[in-house]
Amino acid sequence: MDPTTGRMLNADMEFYRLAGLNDIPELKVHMMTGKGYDERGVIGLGEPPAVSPGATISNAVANALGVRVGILPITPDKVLAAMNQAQKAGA
Amino acid sequence: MRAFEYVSPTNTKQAASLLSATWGQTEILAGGTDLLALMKEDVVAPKRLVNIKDIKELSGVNPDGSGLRIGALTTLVEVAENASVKEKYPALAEAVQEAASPQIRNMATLGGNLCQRPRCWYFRNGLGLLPKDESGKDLVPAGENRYHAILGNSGVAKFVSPSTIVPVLIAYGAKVRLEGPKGKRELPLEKFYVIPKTEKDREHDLLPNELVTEITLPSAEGWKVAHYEIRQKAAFDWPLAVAAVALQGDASNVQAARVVLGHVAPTPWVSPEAAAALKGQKVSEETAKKVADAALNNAKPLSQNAYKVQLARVAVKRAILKAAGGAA
Repeated sequence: MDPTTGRMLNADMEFYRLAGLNDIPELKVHMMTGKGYDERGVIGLGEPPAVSPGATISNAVANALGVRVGILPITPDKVLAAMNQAQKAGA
Repeated sequence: MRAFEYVSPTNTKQAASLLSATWGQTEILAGGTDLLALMKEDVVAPKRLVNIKDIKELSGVNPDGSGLRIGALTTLVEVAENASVKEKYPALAEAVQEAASPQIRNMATLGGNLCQRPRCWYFRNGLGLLPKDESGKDLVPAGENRYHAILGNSGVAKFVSPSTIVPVLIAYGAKVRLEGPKGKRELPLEKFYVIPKTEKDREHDLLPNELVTEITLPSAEGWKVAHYEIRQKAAFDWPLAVAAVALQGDASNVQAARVVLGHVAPTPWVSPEAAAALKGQKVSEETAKKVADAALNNAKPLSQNAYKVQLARVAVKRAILKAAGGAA
């Protein structure tokens, strides 16, 4: 949002950058069904996939870089800032 | 979208005569991949559209002496798949192949790619190319400028030049041919782009009633050229930084070089400093780093885009190593 005019600048799919097909690796879906699960009855499926990927990706980035990027989405500017800060702290 | 008049001339002269001498009155329609979106968003509202798709002479890739000449109406997919382009200008084929999406490459033309309007989100939201508040204060320096210019941004223009193909065309020494009411002219492609000073100016040197007719490429014999893009997304995204590098002679003793950056300034950014730093050098990781530092030495980031300086450096370094034949 532009702070002066209050205009939303990324109100479309061009500027609101969602991951595309080429950005997402193969997904494996495991359904937790059977004894011990079925007894709980009907459980929503829409929300869980929205919760865990962020944490998973964030953990993968931390594992790869040794630096935690605490804010989603993890964009190049945030990764570079986190790495620069870690370098400074280490120096 | 507002109502407009639609005309379909069949030759370039006729097309030029149907264009207004004032910006904003008429627009040229080729692939329409940029123009139609701008019209739907009401960013531009021409009174007349001049469809040039019926002008046969503007299409095709043909030999031009020892080089090539590409008609402005040639689609991106035709450029990327052309045998001569793939064989003699592989970095151009690669850059075109990476642009936009397959659907857009089927429609978009090379001339349109040269003339596409900036992707600046202030401009696309109708706030103008040089956005200002009511008191006349520039919005971008105090606003959302993470994707804006880090070079050539000392004036009011802070947007970045949008084409991902133009830097590699300039690296190959491309020229652009224009035709208007005063006849034909030819410019080195880098001279086609200018930094606008007022909202009435455009980001290129084209007159409102001129057309881009052709892009010519000199022979690339003896040159090694590479193109490197850094993007947030793997596909269908505008890059954060682009570099195109052309090296003449052996990678162990560079005779001459051209280094062109994209998405870092309001124009494609030719770096004479980087070219000078490469001349007479043996290409190595170390020289590539030094050249990249030279290219970005004068960068002046805005409040949110200092990270782009580092990305642009990396793009230059990797393009140099890629041109020299190593892995990027």
